[in-house]
Amino acid sequence: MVIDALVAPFQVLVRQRPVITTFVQREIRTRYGTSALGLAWPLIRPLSLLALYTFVFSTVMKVRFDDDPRAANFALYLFCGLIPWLAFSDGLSRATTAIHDHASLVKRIRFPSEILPLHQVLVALAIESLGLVILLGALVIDGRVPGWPLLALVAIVVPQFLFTTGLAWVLATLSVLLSDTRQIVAFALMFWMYATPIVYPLDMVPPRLQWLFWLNPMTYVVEAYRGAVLENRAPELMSFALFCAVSLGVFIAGYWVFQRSKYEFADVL
Amino acid sequence: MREPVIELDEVTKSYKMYRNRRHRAVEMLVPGAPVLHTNFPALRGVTMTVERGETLGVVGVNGSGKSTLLQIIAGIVRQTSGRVTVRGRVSSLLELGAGFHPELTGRENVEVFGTVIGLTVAEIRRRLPDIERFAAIGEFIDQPVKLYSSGMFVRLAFAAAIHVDPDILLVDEALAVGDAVFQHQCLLRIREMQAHGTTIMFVSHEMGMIKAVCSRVVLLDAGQILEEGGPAEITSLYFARASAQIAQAQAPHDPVTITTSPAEPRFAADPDFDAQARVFRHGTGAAKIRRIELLDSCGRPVTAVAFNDEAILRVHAEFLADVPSSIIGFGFRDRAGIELIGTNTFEEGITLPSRSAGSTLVVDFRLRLPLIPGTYSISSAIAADRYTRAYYDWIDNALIVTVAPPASGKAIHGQVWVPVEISVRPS
Repeated sequence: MVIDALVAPFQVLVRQRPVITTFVQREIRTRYGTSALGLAWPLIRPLSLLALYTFVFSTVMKVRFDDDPRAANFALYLFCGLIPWLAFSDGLSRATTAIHDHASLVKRIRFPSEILPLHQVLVALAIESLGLVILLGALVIDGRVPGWPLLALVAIVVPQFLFTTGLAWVLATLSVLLSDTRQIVAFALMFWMYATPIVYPLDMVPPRLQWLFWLNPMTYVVEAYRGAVLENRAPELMSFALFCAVSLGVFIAGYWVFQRSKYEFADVL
Repeated sequence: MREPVIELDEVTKSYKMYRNRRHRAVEMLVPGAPVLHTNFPALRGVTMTVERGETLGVVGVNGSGKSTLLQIIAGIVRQTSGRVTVRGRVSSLLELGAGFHPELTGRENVEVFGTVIGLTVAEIRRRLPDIERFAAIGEFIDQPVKLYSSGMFVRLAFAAAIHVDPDILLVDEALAVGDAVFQHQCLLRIREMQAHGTTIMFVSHEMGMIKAVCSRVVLLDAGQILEEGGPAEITSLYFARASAQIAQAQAPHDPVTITTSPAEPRFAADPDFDAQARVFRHGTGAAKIRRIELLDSCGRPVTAVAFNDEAILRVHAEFLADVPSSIIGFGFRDRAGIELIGTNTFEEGITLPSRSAGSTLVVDFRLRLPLIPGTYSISSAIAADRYTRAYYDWIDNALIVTVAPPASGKAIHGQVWVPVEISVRPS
C-alpha cells in the first residue's frame, strides 16, 4: 500500500509518456510556433529582465558578486540564478491555470488531467535549457570555461522538476476549487523571487538571517546552479540529498492532493 | 454469450450546490465549518448492465441525468456512491473536438487526440488515412483548425473519435450535427462498429435515431431508470410523456379539458386563448374561436406528432350573434410562413348547422400530417360563406405543433410527402 502510494506519481511519468510528449510539443508549438519571432521569444524575456536587473542592481545599486565590480560578472551571476528561477515561476504560474485552460478536455474526455500542470513545468524546463545555452556561450566569451561540475546540473534538474511539479499539482488543484489562487500565486511568486538570492548574493544577507534563506529550497537551487556553472563546484552530497528528499516529499504529496480532488474538477469547472 | 462490459450498481451522483463562491472556499479551508452546500441529486440509484455488442439507447428529458450517466461511465465524473465497472477502452463522443487547439492543424490535433485516448503515435499515423477519408476535408487537414468551417471541424472530430477502435463508444447527441450526407455516413460507421461487436451507449433526443440504432433503450427520469425495453416501446412512452408534460405546461389552469373524452367532445373555452391570440386576430366578432387543440388519434392532447401519424385538430367556436351558415377552416404554416396544408368544412363537403347567439360548436378535423419534421404554426378561421370575404374570426399562430421524424428513420424529401406507388420493370 505505502509502496504503491509512493510509486504512483512516478508511474504517471512512465504510463502517460506519449500524452506528456505530445502536450509538451503542442504547448511549445502553439505558444511560439505561431508568432513571427518564434523561438526568439523565450529568450527575449529573460534577456530583457537580465538587462533591467543588471542596470538597477549593478549599475545603480552597486551590488557585487564575488567581489568583482564588473557589470558583466554581475550579469553572469544574475543570469545563472534567473534561469532556474524563471523555469520555476513560469512553470508554476502556467500550471496554476492549466486545468482551466484545458477545461474541455477535463470535462469531456477521460483524460489524465495530472499531466496538465506537469507538462507546463516541463515546457518551462525546456525553455530554461535554451537560456543555459546562451549563458554557457557568454561564459566562454568571458574566458571562463566550466569544468566537470557542470555535469551536476543534470542531477540538480531532476529534484528541481519534482519539487516544481509537486507544487504545481497543489496550486492547480487549489485554483480550480478557489479561483483567487491565481491572483495569490502571481503575487506570492514576486515575493518569493526577492526572498531568493537572485539579484543579490546570499553573503550580503545578514548572517543571523541566513538560516531563514536556507529554508527556501529555491535558495539551494540557485546556489547549486551558480556553483556548478560559475564556480566549478559540485554540490555537497549532504545538502543535495536533503534537497532530493524535500523534493520527493513535495512531489508525492502534491500528487495525492491532486488525485484526491481531480474527480471534482469536472463538477466545478 | 452474455458478457457484461458495463455494470452499474446503485449508482448515485449528487452535485454540491453553493449559494456563492465564498461558501465553497469557507467549507474547503475552514476546519469545522458548518455545511454550506445543498445537494442536487443528478442520479439516484441507477442499476443497469450493458452486454458486449449491445447498443443501448438512453432517453429522457433535459436534466434527467443522461449526460451525468455517460460522464460517470466515461470516467470523467466520479459517482457519489454505488459501484461502476467498465471493461475495455472507452471512447466518448460527449463533445466533439474537445481539446482541439485552434492554432494546430487538423493532423496535429488528431495526433494529440489519439495519444489522449491511449494510442501511440505510430498507431495514430496508421489510422490517419482512414480518418482523412472519412472526414473528407481535403487539403484542410494541414491547415490550423481555426480556419475550419464548423461542419469541417465536426467531421474531423467525429472521424477521429470513431477510428480509435474503442471497445465501448459513448455518444451524446453528437450525431445531431453535420449535414445529411455526413449523418448517413456516421450511421453506416456505427453499424459497422456494431457488426464488429463494439458496445455503444447512445444518448439522443431524436427518437428516429434511437429506433434506427439501438437494440435496447432505457428511459431516465429525474435521475432514475423509469422504464427499460425495446426501442419502439420506450420511444413511444417517451413521446407520450413529453407531450403530456408540454400539454400540462401549456394549460396549467384548466386540467379538466385534458381528460375530455374523444367520444363526445364538449365545448370548452380556453381562458388564456384570447390573450394569446390577440396579436394575430381579426374579424367581425359574430363568432369567436375559443380554443384550438391538437390531439393524437386516441384523443389525447399533444403538441407533437410523428410524421404522417393521424391527428385531430379540434376547434371550439362560440357564436355571439345569430348566424345562418358558417365555414370553419385551418392551415398549417411552416417556419417560412408558407401554408403547406389547409382546408375548411365547405371544401370538404360539410355543412355546418345554423347557430343562435350563445351557442357553440366543436369541429374535429381528423388528418394525417405528412410534413417534413419541424415546427408548424396553425391558423384557423370562421367565415360566413365562401363568397363574402367577411370573416367572423381569423387567428394566425393559434397553436404551434411539432412534427417529429418518422419512426422508421425514413428521410423526407420536400416539405410535404405524398404516398407513392413504385413499380419497376426490368427489361
